[in-house]
Amino acid sequence: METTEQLTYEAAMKRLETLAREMEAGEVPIDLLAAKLKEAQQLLAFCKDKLTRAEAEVQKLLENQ
Amino acid sequence: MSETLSLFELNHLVRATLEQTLDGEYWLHAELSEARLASNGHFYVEFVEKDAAGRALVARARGTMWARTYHLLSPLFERATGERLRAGLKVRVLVTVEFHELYGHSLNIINIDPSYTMGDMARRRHEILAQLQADGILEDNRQLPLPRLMQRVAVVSSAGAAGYGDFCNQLEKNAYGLYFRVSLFPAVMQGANVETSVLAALETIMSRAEDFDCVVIIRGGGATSDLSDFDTYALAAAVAQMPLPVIVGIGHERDETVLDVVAHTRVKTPTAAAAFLIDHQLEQLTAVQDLQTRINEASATLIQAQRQRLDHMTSLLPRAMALVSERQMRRLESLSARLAAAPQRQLMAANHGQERLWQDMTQAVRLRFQREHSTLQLLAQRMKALDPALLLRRGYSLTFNADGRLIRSADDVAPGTVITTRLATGTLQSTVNKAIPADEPLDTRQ
Repeated sequence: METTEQLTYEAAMKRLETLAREMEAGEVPIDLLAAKLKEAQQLLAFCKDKLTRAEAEVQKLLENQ
Repeated sequence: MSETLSLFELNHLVRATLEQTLDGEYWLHAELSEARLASNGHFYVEFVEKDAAGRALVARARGTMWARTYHLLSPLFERATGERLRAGLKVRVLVTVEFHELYGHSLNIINIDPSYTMGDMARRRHEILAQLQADGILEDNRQLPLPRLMQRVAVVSSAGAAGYGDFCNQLEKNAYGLYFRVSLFPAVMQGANVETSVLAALETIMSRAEDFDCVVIIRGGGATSDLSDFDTYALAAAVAQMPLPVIVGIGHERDETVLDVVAHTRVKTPTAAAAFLIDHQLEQLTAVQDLQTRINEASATLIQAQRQRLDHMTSLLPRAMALVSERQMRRLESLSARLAAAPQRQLMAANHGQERLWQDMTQAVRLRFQREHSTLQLLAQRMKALDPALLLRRGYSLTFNADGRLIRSADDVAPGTVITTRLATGTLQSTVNKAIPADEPLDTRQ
């Protein structure tokens, strides 16, 4: 997975869609399920943050310091 | 020589003649080159007509709409066309021709036909759209995909406009906590400078296109006016070719401008523009939540399926175990049987080996003893032959000197020496009379 600094919302959503499809198709081996779920949760949090939190604003403030 | 007239008299004559010959009302179409509402409430304009190429003026006339008429007609006109009466519009007006001795020629406007102006504006819009179509850029902006994330918004508007404030408020106070970052690119949104000002703003945005997700062009609410300022080819082309989706909220209830046609999305008001962005983002939030639900359900299903598999295996286990253990038991039994048999066989084999070894060893010892024994016998015989007693008994004797040393040569003994001779039985002690060397014959009879 990309690091969150480089990750775009677009890429995160695409990855999430892939993960959801894989899981729905039962293609995820049970050994990997926990890791994939963890990844999905991080991506979901990232996307929600992007939509709702002033992350970009915070970034800007930090850059201006 | 006719009489000389004063200026007033001449102008009066013109006025009288005009009033006599042009005493009716005339429908006139012309372009307004000037339009001004005076403080007394009267509305003054200048009509012009251009040649076919649209450059040179071929006619010009002043016109007036008296305050009472203006108050009656201008709201009707504005409601119909979305335009104030202003310079640049083509109008069809009902006029009477006036001439005043002091103020000269003027047209008194008593009615106006908004549909003519609308038709003209529509024709202009049509021409612009046809040109955009011919240039192949008409659909460019409309066909841009909306990015999933539209939160960095470049706004073209006038800073003080109520519409811009509404837009910002609406975004900031959205009920879902959605985040937007609005950057204003100020522009004149009314009057003759609209085109250059908005173009400049769009150009600035274009140069920083990667900093934004979309462009919003809005202008203040309230009076609808001067829509046709936005109906220029240059503006329409700029919007059409914008690399970001453009949302336009400058519209009028009834008319659409060229920008409304070329922009990605048209809305009626700044508030509606904000609502559009919020809706779009809300869709994304919903999409994220849907994905969350899907992933949660899918993983639960996966786990459930695995659990069922496990349960199934568990139910199969006792039988499988029974089979396995039975097989193992049999294997164990056969193994233990083999194990029990094995040492005995081995012992037997070992015994056999030991016995043979023992026989070999005893045989070897026996042979050795026999060999030693015969060697001993030989030795004994040789020893017997050497025994002095035996020799003494045969007649040999041994002679010793006084020191007890054995005398082996006559040379070793001087006459007069006492010697001791040992015989088989007894011993003789004698004195030597004479020592005869070995080379002289011995006369024992003497």
